[in-house]
Amino acid sequence: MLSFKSAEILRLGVTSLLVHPGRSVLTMLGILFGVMAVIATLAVVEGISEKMQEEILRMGTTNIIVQAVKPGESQSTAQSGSGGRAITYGLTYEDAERIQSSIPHAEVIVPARRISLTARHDTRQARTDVVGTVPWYKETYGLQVARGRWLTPVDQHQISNVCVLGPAAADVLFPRQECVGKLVRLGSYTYRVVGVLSARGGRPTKSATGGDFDRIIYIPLTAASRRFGQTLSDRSAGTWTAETCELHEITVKVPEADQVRPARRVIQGLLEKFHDPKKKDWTIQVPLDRLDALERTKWLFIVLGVSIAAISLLVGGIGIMNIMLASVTERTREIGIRRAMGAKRKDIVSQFLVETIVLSSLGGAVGVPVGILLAYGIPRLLTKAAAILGVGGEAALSSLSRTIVTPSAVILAFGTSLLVGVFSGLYPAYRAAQMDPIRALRHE
Amino acid sequence: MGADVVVEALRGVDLVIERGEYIAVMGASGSGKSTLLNLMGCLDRPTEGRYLLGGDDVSRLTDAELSAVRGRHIGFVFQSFNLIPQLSALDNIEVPLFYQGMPRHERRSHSQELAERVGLGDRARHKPMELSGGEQQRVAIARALANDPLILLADEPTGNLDSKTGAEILALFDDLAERDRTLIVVTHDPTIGQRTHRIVRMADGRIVNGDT
Repeated sequence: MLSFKSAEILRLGVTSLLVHPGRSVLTMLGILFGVMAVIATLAVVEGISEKMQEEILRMGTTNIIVQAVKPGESQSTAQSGSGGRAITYGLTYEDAERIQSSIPHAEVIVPARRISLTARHDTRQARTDVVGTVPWYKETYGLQVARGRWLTPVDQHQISNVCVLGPAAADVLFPRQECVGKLVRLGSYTYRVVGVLSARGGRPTKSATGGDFDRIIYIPLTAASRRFGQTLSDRSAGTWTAETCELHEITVKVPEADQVRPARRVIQGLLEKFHDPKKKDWTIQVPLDRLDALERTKWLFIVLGVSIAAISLLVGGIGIMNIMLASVTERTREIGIRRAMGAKRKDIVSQFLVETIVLSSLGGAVGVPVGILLAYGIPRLLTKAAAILGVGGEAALSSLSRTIVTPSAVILAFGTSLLVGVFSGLYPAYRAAQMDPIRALRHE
Repeated sequence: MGADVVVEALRGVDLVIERGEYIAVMGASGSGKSTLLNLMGCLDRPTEGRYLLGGDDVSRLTDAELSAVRGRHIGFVFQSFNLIPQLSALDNIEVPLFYQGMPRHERRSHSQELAERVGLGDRARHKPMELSGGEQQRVAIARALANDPLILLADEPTGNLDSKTGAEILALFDDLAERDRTLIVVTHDPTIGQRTHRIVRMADGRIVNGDT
């Protein structure tokens, strides 16, 4: 009986709503904005989270990255002379050996030595990070050679003065010209360029070591130790500092992701044992842990964002309830007539409920495409707004540069609008159904 | 009309109406004729006593059951027409059929037939606001007849009409009475009483005379 009637009741509901088209549209708007807000919020969260996830994945989920940390002022090791000091800190080749022998199944252990330098070619110069590394570093980090070649074991043994440029470094030093075979000055030494890497992504990416991957210049690790030594002196404002750091970074790559955590514990144990506990000069980064942390953060943001967006849905629902209560009062006599003509209470309830559901689902149905449009327009809008206001905040902008509308976000938003429709309609419909038909008929 | 105070609107009313009778219920305001009408129309239940409609006791039915009885067996004609403003005349006629679950196309042919019968003709597609009082009351009568009810209850059906239109509506009633409809008309108007088979006079919630 009810199923036969449902199409009829729907028709009836639409007819009644069309009596006041303007009012119906205004009522719908509340839901429309709510659905729009939910979809847009979720799209922003999803976009940020995917971006971060990609960055973490780029670091390698089976990697454990051990980095040297320069101890703070209070932890300075040795004072020598007035205003000058020497610091010895960081990871050592011995550390790398210990890790290798303790975790034999670890695929590669990659020492990397990083020096900040100015690279020069003719009159051009670029502030870069020079990384002394080993031939297999390329595989571990998934670097792609665009032209020329990567560092070889021969380079390593012969301590050759050769280098591979990151694409950004190549662009700065050799604008619109071939650089392979050319010479570059790094500090006081001259290196021959043997290859250029491909760009790693759309925008400058921060690597695990904190620099811009695309600006790095790679040289053989042996060359780095020989030419730049293990001690770096810096003179400024009459004081001098000497830093000694054998290795800045060791990457341990295990075959499977589930071996990451046990391996991490082993490495941590080794470092705690052999390094001065008062001078914590190392940290361990596990991209996999960051992935988990990201997942939790994402949920936090989803809950937060959706709660805020849900407020507008709630307001929309209150709007519907308000209008429906007014409508019930206005149509008291109609209710009385229908009751006299044989309508049961549940017929009246379904009549008014259908009206609110039609309103909210229409609002939702329009809100979904509008929300999707807004979600995909956000990056462009923000870029424009930033340009007009003249504010930079490149990092913030780039993290919003992608928004992703997932099917589940659409379902959630639309489903919520339907629920709002049902709940905001229940009370007015109940009021309508509880009316005494005799009084309702007499109502002026 | 306070519901907070218990008012004994009807007392010792004992009334039998035969199928096909045309009856006028007359009496001053507050005489209880509206209450009697509400009871007969199954809009209300008696606190005491019984009401047999077509042989069935309907005085102790639930709200939903009463609604079903109204939909099937009662036709109402009101003084103020009581049409639903957003619906066309035909749609108004179809309201009782809708609640009986009659399919749409059947309803439409049925309502067109009824509109013809009460003399609406081509006015049937108009909304109530676009119709004259007489036309509106014809729509209401067509609606009351839609479910082929056991009884047709009319509450001051000519009260809002001028005398000429009122006469036309009463002629329609006479016609229905001749076709063996059971008609109960509540009215002040003695001229209506004269046309009916029997007048039930009420005062202070009692029937003061039940004869012709």
